[in-house]
Amino acid sequence: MEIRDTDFEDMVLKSDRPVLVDFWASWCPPCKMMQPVVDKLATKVGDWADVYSINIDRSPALAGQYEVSGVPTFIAFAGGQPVDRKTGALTEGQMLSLLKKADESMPPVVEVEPQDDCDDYAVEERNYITIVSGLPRSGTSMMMRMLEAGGIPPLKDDQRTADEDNPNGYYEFEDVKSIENYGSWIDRAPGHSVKMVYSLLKHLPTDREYRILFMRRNVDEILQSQKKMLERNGVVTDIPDSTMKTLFERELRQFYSWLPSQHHLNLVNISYNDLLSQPAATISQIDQHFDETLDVHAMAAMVDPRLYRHRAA
Amino acid sequence: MTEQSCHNANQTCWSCPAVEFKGHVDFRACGQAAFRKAAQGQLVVECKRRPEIGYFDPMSITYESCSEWKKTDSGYILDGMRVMILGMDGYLGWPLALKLAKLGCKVYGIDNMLRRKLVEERGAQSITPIQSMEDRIKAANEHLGVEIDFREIDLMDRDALFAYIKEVQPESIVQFAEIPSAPYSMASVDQAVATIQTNVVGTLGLLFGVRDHAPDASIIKLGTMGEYGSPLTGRPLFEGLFPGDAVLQYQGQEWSLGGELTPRDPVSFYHVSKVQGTYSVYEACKYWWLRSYDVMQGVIYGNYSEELLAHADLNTRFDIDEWWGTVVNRFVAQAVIGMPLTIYGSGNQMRGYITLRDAMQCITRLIAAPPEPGQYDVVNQVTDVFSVMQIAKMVASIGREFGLDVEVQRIENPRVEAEEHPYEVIHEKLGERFGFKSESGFADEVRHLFRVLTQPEAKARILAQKDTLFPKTKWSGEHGKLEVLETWKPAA
Repeated sequence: MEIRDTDFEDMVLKSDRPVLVDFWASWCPPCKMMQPVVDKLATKVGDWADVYSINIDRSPALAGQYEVSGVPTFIAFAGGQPVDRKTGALTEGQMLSLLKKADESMPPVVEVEPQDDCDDYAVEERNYITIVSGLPRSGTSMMMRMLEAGGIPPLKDDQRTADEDNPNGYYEFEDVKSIENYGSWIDRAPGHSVKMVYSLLKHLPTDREYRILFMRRNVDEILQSQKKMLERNGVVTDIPDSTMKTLFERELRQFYSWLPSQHHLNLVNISYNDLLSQPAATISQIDQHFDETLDVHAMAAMVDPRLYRHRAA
Repeated sequence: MTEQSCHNANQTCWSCPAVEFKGHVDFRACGQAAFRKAAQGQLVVECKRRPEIGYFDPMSITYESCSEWKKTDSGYILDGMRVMILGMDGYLGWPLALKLAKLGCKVYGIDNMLRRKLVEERGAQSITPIQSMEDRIKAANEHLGVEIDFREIDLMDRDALFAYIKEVQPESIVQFAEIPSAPYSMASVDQAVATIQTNVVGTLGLLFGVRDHAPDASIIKLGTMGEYGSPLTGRPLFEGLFPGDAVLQYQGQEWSLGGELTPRDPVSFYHVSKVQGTYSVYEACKYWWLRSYDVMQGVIYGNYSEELLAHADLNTRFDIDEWWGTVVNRFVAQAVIGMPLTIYGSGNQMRGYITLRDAMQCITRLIAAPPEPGQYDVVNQVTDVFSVMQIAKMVASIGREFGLDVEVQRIENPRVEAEEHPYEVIHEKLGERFGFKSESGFADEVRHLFRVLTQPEAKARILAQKDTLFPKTKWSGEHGKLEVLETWKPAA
């Protein structure tokens, strides 16, 4: 299956199965010829491993990161780490042995508490709506994952679930994006978490109770991360960083001057930088905000320092 | 229109010759390491035709959604696509020029008119009379309402060729400007050298011109199924490259052959020149990110195309002699004048075949769906596989419909070739990836040929060159008449 760099983290680095990644290019005849063999292998190992293809022209950053200097290159991953690699066309047997090697290197499985009852319990218990908000590129998706692991499930709509193209899709709950649709989900929202850009917070109905995690991150890092994302999407902007920075800071000032008068919003600021550098303390801070009802160990397992690529110098 | 004919609807600017790659990426300069540079910068394109939309992701606009690509029966075609046909005066070059012009392409052509000269030197001529290039172009304008630009340029005159490429900025280049005869290349040292010169050196020079003046153009390179030979092991003739699950086992170890060029085993010095062309194009794609489809064409026959039928002045050439005529065309001509159809050796030699009409459709579909930057791919352009004996029998039987009493004759084989061999041709890409669907069968095409060649003027022209039909050129270099082994009338 073909994946892009945006899927890489979830499908490869966070996979609990061995993964073989085929870095290929459309202009490379051996790569194209290998495709059916790679697909066949993927079906064959479907019950214990995953095989993905990455077009290096479409995801150049990944090719650079893993120093792919010839194609096809096959890299076997175990627990997010590259275990072995081979460049050049391979036989099915050779690909399989790469995967077996990855399988042997898989980190031991951590026993996780059964979650079944936990979810129901949480939904019943919490009569407030949990909201994750903040500036773009501040770790809101990660926080949603952490909350899900910690016991607050994300609010989903019925039609739209995660699919191949967008494995994180259900954290983006489309209905929150238009105010007119609030009626359709707000009644279902208590006990769940919803991700929302901060500018929408002012439209929340005031007759409910909200607990908000407001993600903060060094603005320079946000800018850098945003730029990378735009670049990967082939979008070029001419707006200088200094202008963007001023813009973000002004918006934040306005937000914080508006906030104290909003009694229905119970907000705590969470530093993304702290979360990565001292996860235990930060997670405990989050837990307190939720009356110490979260599974802090499960949440800690979700923090992934590998994500933290665009650190301000 | 069928689904199939829109084979290229989902291609994007990534493979469109009308875009320019921007930013920090210079494909041409960095070969296969391009993506390293891409990793540091970004991949964006600018549309040369619509610069106002700015720089954008090359994957974001499909041909289907682009205003510059128009839907036709051959898939989406870049409106007014500039196509340069090298060897436009030839059997294939001319009908292709007409077809593309009719589809809305801007057609540019060169030719050194060598083929006319060589056929004449042989004491032969085209059975269907052909006009001078000037008159052909005039006729095309009159009867089809199209403009075609032509320069009499020799492929070997690189200054003139490069200047023309630079001026035209072709978006697709069709390389037909070669000497296409196996027996010609085996006849003497001069002819072998001329074949190698034109085909090998000419094509090599062209690649430099494309690199320097039109690097985004797709190169449609005409090869031949004869490049593969006919392996006695029965190994299938894959489409130029080994499939991914091809494995080489040797001394207890195994290696994947996936994507490597399959072995070539040419059957004459002409075919050697074609193999060399294949390697030159393959390398150019590798070194300079040129893009090419290499067409391994089966033996071509027929003279039917919709555009050719518009007027007699639009005729394409039709040769039947030992050197310049292909087997089916020659057999029909022999049948028309009551000469036995000459089969070389056992007649069990298998080859792939395709009609002129189908070949033109294939080439058009390839032009419409350009390869991606740096991509080299091979298609086997074949619709049927026949033995020479089968063809003789089918031609004889169709000849009877025209009241002709056709004899078949086996003669001593002038060529050095396997006469008994397995032959399994893989020909899937054109149908599966380019939406090609054959529009003409063997019987219909041969019937059309009989109708044309039994006309009195055509028959007279065949009779006038009767002596050139019986083969004389031996691969061994020996001289002397080839012996007739047997002659018979095939049962109805």
